[in-house]
Amino acid sequence: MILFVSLFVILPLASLIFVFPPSLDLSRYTHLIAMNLLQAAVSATVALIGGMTISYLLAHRRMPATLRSFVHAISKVSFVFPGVSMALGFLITLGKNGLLNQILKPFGIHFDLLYTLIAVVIGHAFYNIPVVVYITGTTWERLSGEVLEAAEINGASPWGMLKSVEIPLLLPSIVSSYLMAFLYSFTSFAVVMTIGGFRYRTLEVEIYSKVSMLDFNGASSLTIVQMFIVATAAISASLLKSRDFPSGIPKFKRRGTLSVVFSSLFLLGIIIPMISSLVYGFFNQGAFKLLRDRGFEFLGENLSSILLWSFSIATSAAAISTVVSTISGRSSSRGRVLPGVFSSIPTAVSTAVLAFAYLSVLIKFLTEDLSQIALVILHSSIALPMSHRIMESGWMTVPKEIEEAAMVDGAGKLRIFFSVDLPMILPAIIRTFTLSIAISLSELAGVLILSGGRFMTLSSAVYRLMSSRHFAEATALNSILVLIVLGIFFLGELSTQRA
Amino acid sequence: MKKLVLIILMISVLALSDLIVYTYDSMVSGLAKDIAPVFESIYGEKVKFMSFGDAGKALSRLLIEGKKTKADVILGLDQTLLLKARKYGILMSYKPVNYQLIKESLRPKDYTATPFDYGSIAIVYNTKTVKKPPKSFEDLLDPRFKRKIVIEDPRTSSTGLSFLLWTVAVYGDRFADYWKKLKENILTVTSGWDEAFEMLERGEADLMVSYLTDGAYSYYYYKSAKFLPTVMKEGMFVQKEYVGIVKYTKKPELAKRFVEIMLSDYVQEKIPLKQWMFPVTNVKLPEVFQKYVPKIDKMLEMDPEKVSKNLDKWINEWEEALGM
Repeated sequence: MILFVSLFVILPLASLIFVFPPSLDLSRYTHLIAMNLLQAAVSATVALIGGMTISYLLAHRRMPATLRSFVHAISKVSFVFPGVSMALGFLITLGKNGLLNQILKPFGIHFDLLYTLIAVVIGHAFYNIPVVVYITGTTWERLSGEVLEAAEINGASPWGMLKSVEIPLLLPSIVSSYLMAFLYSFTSFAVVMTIGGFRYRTLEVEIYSKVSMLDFNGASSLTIVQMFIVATAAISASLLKSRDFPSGIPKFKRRGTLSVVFSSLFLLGIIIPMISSLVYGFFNQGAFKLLRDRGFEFLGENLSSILLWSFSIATSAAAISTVVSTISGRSSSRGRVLPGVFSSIPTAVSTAVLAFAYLSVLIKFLTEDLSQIALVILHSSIALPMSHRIMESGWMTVPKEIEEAAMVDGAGKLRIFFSVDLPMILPAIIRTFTLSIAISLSELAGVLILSGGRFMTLSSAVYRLMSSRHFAEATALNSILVLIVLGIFFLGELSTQRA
Repeated sequence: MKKLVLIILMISVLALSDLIVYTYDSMVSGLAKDIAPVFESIYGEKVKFMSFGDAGKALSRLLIEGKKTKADVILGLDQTLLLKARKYGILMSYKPVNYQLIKESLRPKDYTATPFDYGSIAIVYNTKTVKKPPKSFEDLLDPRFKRKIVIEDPRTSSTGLSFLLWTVAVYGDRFADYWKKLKENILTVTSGWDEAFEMLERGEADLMVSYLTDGAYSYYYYKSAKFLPTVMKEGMFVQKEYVGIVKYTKKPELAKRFVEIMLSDYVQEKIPLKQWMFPVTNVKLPEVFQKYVPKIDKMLEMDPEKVSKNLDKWINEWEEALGM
């Protein structure tokens, strides 16, 4: 892990600054940077309020088990849901002739949302509410009931309890979820590029457009700013993660029909863009027929080669990140600190920045093969933080004693790994692998920067189709992409649950 | 003997690889499909079209790759992109055998690249939602067009760049002031023409920077003139598209033939209904062109030298005016 991250993350970043020295005159970007910060702060706040509401309800109200597990499933899905698909979902739902306006038409209401700050904030809030729920919800539900009941006996009102007991206890995870939401919104790519318009851009988008305009030094300047802000947020988030809190048997939950209705409605709001993104291709008049009529050929490539590229890149990236995190997860579970620290470094670097760094290394001899290899390494790097965490907890399930016993019996290291460790960590390996595939398939910024149009993945093909007057085909291809990503993701979840 | 081996080797290399043409997306899915089979049947060589987005992206790619490029031909550069290509010396001069076929007013003064079509950019509006189209640049500032216009980024789109140059041609040094006012009415800035047109078709925007032939296009495909161009009283801005041979090509003879085929009647006749531009030779225009393409009274052109000298400055001023 340490070697991998040093070689493929830290070194390229150093080379970037060396190859394209940034100009330090940032005065012309102050507006952009300020807008980006504002947008991310507002988006994260909205996401936090929405997410906390759902988390609160999860912790305090009785809900049908299906609804509860549905909430959890959705909050996981949002981590892998392709950004470009989400953006497409927003176009379909929030557009001038979109779903929302169609529904509101009989009431004479019309929203002109796209390309406004509100649209971007809504987009990011919806993307990040599940993230907030994922981080705070699970902690909240595990919060010891005794502490809360003690407070209740002492006469605390629900609000007073929330204010003076629960929130202080949960503060680390609240702040860390806020920072996560902030990070996602700050480095958002596909959503901002599609519905942000020219007024609301992120540094991430601007770095991509500077690179594609060959303004490498400009891109480099923005990269420095971006890295500074992202690293600050990411480091603060990781510092907060390890604080203890009183966990235990959860508090008795009150019944609340209203809250069930409320959270169902809220969920509906979150999943509508996802669902419409998934199904629109099937219902959009003849989108698939259009694809078929063209012999599944578009932008000079056919579907099979796009699928081949996507999958070969995704599976190679997933294989690398699984191997690296299996090794690093083991040493982390044996108490070593550094692998964990290094695994989180990619979180502190955005995808566009890393892709740009690779470009700076390879630019003199960039070929199709080389840029595909670079993309594989890029995708394995961005999957590392999550892979490492999964593998580390996977290794935690392997008792040291068994290994030692096997060693005493004279089994070699390899033998121990294959016959003792592997069966036990297999579920974690499967989850890491499938999740990494899903992350690779969903990724867009890196593909656009590194491929230079020489090859396309599903994500980049959807984006290219969307912006080249093939909207119908884009929706059809997007449906395929979402289906595949969700399919692989749930396959991983399912196989681990069974194990 | 050595020479013979070398020749055989060269021939086999030539026969093994296709002629590679860098161009833009809509060319690949459009006119290119008509050119490829004909080129192949005449010259017995395959031609492969590759696109990376719009023409600007194709040129960027070529410049990045430099000597290592696989491209033999670049197709679809406009005047300003051509200037950039010329500045970097990436093209090989060639005077086509069919040079005389090109309309006199369009014949290039040097032979860096050959024009194969031309047109005029125009503000195109949705006739359903815009009842009174703008007739001048001042009209475009009308508050009734607030957040209704979509334009292309002049840094990435040749259409967008032409529009920027058009405003410079109209307002001279004060063009940035015009953009500061226009900003209010701009819904968004797209990176290419296709994306902007997509927005017009989906009804997200009501006006866009596009081409004079859009009405004809609209009528040809939808039998309705839903999107019509409006002629500006300040004068219209002409855009030419060029085909050029890449200096580093290993197949110069084949590349030259590609240039010739672009000037052939076969391709030129296809240009109106495939490219929605005007042919550069005197082939007959289809009826829909004669009917739905408005006549231009006043043509504006920019001196390429002046453009190349000031372009960076203008782009900077434009970025500042829009807060980009």
